[in-house]
Formats: sequence, structure tokens, C-alpha cells
Amino acid sequence: MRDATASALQGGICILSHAHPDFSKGGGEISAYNQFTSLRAAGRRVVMVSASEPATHYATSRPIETILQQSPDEYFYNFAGMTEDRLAWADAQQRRLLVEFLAGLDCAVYHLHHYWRVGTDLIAELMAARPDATFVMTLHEMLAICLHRGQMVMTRSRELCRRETAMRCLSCFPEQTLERFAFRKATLLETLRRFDSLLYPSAFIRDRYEDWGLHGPRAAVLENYLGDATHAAPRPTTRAPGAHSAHFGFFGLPSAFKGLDVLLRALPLALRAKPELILSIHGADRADLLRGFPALEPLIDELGAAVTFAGRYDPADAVALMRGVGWVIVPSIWWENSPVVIQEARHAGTPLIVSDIGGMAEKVLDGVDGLHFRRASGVDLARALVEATDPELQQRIAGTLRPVLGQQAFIAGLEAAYQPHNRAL
Amino acid sequence: MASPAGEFLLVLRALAPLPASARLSMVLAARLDSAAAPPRVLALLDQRLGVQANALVLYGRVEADLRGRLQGIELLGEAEAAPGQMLRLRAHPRLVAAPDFLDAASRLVPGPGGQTGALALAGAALLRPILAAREAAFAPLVASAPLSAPWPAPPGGTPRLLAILNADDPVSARLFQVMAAAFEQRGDRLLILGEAAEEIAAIFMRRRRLSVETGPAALESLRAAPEGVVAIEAVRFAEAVIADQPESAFTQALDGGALARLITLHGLAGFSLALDDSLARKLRLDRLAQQGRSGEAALVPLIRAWSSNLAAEMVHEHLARLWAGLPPTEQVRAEETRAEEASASA
Repeated sequence: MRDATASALQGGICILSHAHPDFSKGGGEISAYNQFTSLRAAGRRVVMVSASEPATHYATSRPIETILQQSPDEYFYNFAGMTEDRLAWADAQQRRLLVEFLAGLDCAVYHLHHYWRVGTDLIAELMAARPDATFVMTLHEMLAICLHRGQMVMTRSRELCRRETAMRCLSCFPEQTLERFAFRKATLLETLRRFDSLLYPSAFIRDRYEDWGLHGPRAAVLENYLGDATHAAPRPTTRAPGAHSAHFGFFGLPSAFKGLDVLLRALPLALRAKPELILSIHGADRADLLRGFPALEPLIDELGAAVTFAGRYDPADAVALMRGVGWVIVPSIWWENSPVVIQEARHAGTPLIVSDIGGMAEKVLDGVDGLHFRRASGVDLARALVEATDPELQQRIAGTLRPVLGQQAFIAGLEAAYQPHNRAL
Repeated sequence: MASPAGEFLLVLRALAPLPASARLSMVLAARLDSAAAPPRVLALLDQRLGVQANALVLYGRVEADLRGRLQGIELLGEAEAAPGQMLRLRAHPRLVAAPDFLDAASRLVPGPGGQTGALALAGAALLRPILAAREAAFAPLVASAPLSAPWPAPPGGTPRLLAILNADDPVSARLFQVMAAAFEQRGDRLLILGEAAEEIAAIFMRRRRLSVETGPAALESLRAAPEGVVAIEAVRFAEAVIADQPESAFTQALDGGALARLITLHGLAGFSLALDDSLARKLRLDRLAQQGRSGEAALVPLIRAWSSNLAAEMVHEHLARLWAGLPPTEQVRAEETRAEEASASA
């Protein structure tokens, strides 16, 4: 048996990502890129290969290479040859080019951060082309389980879905067929079973995949790493007692599942008890919000100075911005698997108020890292807001906030996952 | 209309109700084995004439050994709708599966609408003697190999000919792409039957590890497979993969003899013209038999625009009996006795 870790790291690591933070700011691609920079800084030989939206868009009108080199160890590929759902390749020639390129990188480890924009067929071919390599997948979200963008929220009622069954999926997507759900599940499940290791950024998402039937590969929970740059700024050990305890911050895009509408509806109720309460919305301006929630306009007018819109922000500034508020609120109405916002807030030393479900409930322990409220309940959120304005409570929770994953623990977790396996293809 | 069982149906509908004395007769003109052969006039056996409301329905059948050999078929009919009103007819029969053929015999009103009340009863009266004639003639042919019981595994080991059935969804191609090696390990030839067969075939053709056939060529290979076949229903394969037991999808094998019996039954009582439909039904019956469920109830009813619910029930019951290899019922025997007496007195 070979010296696993040494072999893996000497042979190099290929990080294959569905996107790149230069073009989008999703948690998965940020995590993949943080991993790349961190491993590189730690002296590992690592190559990052990312799907590129601009290159794919370009390919629809002009010829472009399938693989484009960005720097000596960074590459982009266009995925114009994929099927509409980006789970397989319609263009077998383009897939073959990409497989040959990836297989030729001579890496001992292929660490994928998604199957979307990568393709189950590409994964199978790459594994066949490199039976000697170790394959690792970080499962950031639940697209394999749920056709509704992986949200596990019912399409019509917006109720939470707790378990996938073909019949439940059919009730969300009546235009589909039971057979198609079976083909989809079998393809994705079989593809994921073939990995040597699976990494989950939360126990919540691990449990969902295991409930779905994903057993076999080595599995571990490894929290997303915030990146060396963020960790370079040390977490404050002390805050002014009860600093900004009535100042609440929302960070993120105002999409339908992020629950900003729940928060805004809770605010007038809380203001009746605590008129000094302030909400800062980071990630959107007023127009952004009203595009998604036009019905909220009278409410926002009524809230007046109690709400401020700080507009878009650079993720690199998130921790600093969070230090300027007393509480960070994550009111999502869907499960959230492992929101970066929570880690950023914990690293900033700012307590959180979160919905009591999924990755939020797991990453924010009630009374330790913050407060929970009943998902989608404006009344219960108002109760939590009022409670949180107590300076003593805010100070106490700021003092018990748990630290987030550091670089050493992160790399140790990766190395454990990179141990080679005897994989039966 | 014609059926794969060598049956023919001539239906004449009048604008006004027909008298009970109305008559219709027919013969068949066809060439044997080759379009270049001289045309022959053939009498039809076991004819059944029905007169109900404004429809005349005449059923007949050619000798068993002529099935599948006739070319350029024409039905030549002569009708006497009312005394002295003679009418000569000439028709090119359209080949349809048994359910379509039998339902047409009970349809008094053309078009897709269903018949209810008295019309449904009249339609059933036309259909009943035809079903009786079929059961009397066909039940003995299938009684030796009832399809509702599992057949033994091929004695020569698992065949190396694989057939994917009901490959209708292009999305299934992704699964076969990922699982291609499982097929390549178990077979030398792969037949793919279904609307998405070409997409799936392209995957295996690119890999060049087994030979692949689709469409009519695949059906022909299935008909002429003395070594038997391992049949894999596409969606059952997906279910086996989900259960992490893909090997269980390769266990339903039919040897050459079993396949020949299935082909016979398909010709007499297939729900579709496509052989793979009958094969998939056979596999389903086997699965249900393993679960302790079998018989008529196990046959999946055919969803189509039936002439009436009553006709649908009668046809399903009739086909299920043939699939189950059951002997004709007392009712059928009585119907046949009446037909023989009527024939003798005529």
C-alpha cells in the first residue's frame, strides 16, 4: 500500500469547480477557490479548473477553445456543449476534449465541487480514464435530490420537503414522469457512489444525502473554509458591552428563499416594543428588493429610517461590515446547507438570529452562537428581535460564539479525504 | 382491418337501422410469400356475422399456416343491406393490434366518442361471438405455456444477447452512459427498443465494446434469437441502480423456446404491434408472480379511446385469459355451440 497522503499531494490536486468567484459569488465556488489558494499557499501542487459563464456565453456566437488557460495553474472551460440542465453533455466531442485535458493533468486527486456544469457522463469517463486517481466531491447543495433547484421546498405551497420520493416530486413537477425521476436519481446516485470520498459542509446536508440513498464512499463533514485572507484578520476577542445591540444586519441577495420579506414584515411588530431598532440591508438596494417583492413598497415606506439599504458589497468586506452591526439575521425560508454568512458572522464575532431549520440551526447553536426563531414566522422573529436588543444578552452570546474552521484543520480534513481507495469501476 | 393473428374484420355502417335479414360476406384476395406471386382468392374460416342497429360486422380468419405470409391483401365483400339491395365492397385492410381490432368490432358509431346505454350493449352483442371464436381457436395454442407463470432460466446459461426494453426517455441515456460497462461485461450484442433507442445506441457505439441494434433490425433479431435473451426494462434498471443492485436487472432471461412461445402469444393477444411491449408485459407478470400476484389482474389495462367501457372490459378479460393460458369458459363453449348450430342450419 502506498503512502497515501504523500502520494496524493505529490501527484497534485485538481480542483474542478462549477463556477469561479470572478464571475459569481455562490458559496460553492467561493469555497472551491478558497481551497485552491489555501492549498497553494501551503505549498501543495494544485490546479483549479472552473466552468466559465462568460466563455460559454461567448461560445454561442463565436468559436472559442474548450479550455482556456488563465494562469499557470488556473483554467476555465466553456460548457456550451452541455444539455440545458447542465447535468450531462450533449456534445460528446467537447466532453472528450475536457476529459482528455483533465486526465492529462496528471493529478493524483480530483476534487470536484459539483456535478452541475460538470456532468455525470464526464465524471464517469474521467474516472475510467484515471482509475489510479482519488476522486473527492464536496456536496454543497441538493440539486441531485431535488429538481426544484435543490431547495427541497415544494414548488406550489413553498412548504419544506423533508424527504424525496418520486411521487412527491411528481406533485411538484406534474409535467414530469415517474420514470424520468427514476432515471435522474439512478444516474446521479450511481455517479456519486463512485467517489472515493464525499465531503459535506454540514451534517444537515450529509443526512439529506444519506436519507436519499447515498452510502458507500467515505463521508465526512468539513465546513467550508473562509480563506486565508479572511483569517488573516483576527477575530476580535472583546467588543464594547452590548455594542449595537439594536442594530441588525441582513447580508445577501434578496431572493425568494432568503426570507428578507419575512424580516421586513417582522420589523414593524418589533418596532412597537423597541422603537430604537435599526435594520441594515447589505447586498441589495431598495430597487433590487422591490424588483423581487413589489408588494413590500408600502411597508418599506412605512418603516422609514428604521431600514437602510447599503447596496451590494464585496465579499472580502463582509466580515468588517458585520462587525458594524449588533446581530446578523439569516431568515431564510429554505433549509440553507452551510451559509457562508453564518461563518463570516461568527468570525466577525457578531451573534446571529436564524431560522430554526437545516444548516442554519446546525451552524448557529441557540443561546451559544445566537438565537433561533420559527422559520417564516414574522411574529416569532419579532419576538427574537426584541429579545436581542438586550445589551447583556448580546454581550453574553458574543462571548460564547464558536470559532470557525481554521486553515490547519481544513487542510487536515482534506488530506483525510484524499487517502486513496480501492475503487471498483 | 387485419390483426397479426390472421384475422380480418369488415364493418359496414348504414345511415338507417338495418333489418335482421341483412347479409354480408367476404373473401380475401392476396399473394402468398412474394409480391410477385400470382394473386389467390382465399376463403375465411370461422366467420361470424353480426347485425346490430345500423352496423354489419363480419369477422373471419385465415388458416394458421398462412399467417404472416400474405401480401397485397384485399377484402372483397358483398352486402345485402335490404332485400334486393346488393352492394359490392373492396378494401385494403389495415393491420392493428388485437385491442384495436376487437374494439372496432363493437363500434356502431364511427369516431372517437364512447358508446353508452343501448349502443354499448349492442356493441357488446357484436363483440361476444368474435371473442368466443378467438378463445376457442387460440386458447389451446397458448395453454401449454401460460405467460402468467415464470419460465425456467435458459438451460445453457445466461444468454449473451441483451435487450433494453421501453427505452423511451432520452434522459435515460445518461444512466446508460454511466452504466455502460455493466452491459459490456454481460453481453456481446445489445438490442435497444423504444423511442430513445438511437440516443442510447450512440453511447454504446462510441465505446465499441458490443454490437448494437435498434428499430426493426433489433425486433427482427429478437424474433430470431435461438440462444434466448436477457431482457432489461429501462425503468426497472434505474430502480435496480437506485437500490444499489444493478446486477438484479440482468436476471430476467428467456431461452429461445420461451421467446418463440412469447412470439406466438404476441401474435394472438399482443396489446401492441411491437413485440417489446409483450416482452415487457411478460417480465412484469414474472415479477408479480414472484411477489405472489399473478393472473388476469396483473395485466396492465390499455389506455385508449374504447368504444365503450363494456367493450374495454370484455377485451381485457379475453386477452387476460389468453395470457393466463386458461381454457375457454363455459360461456364461450355455449357461444361456440350456438355458432355451430347456426352454421349447420344455414
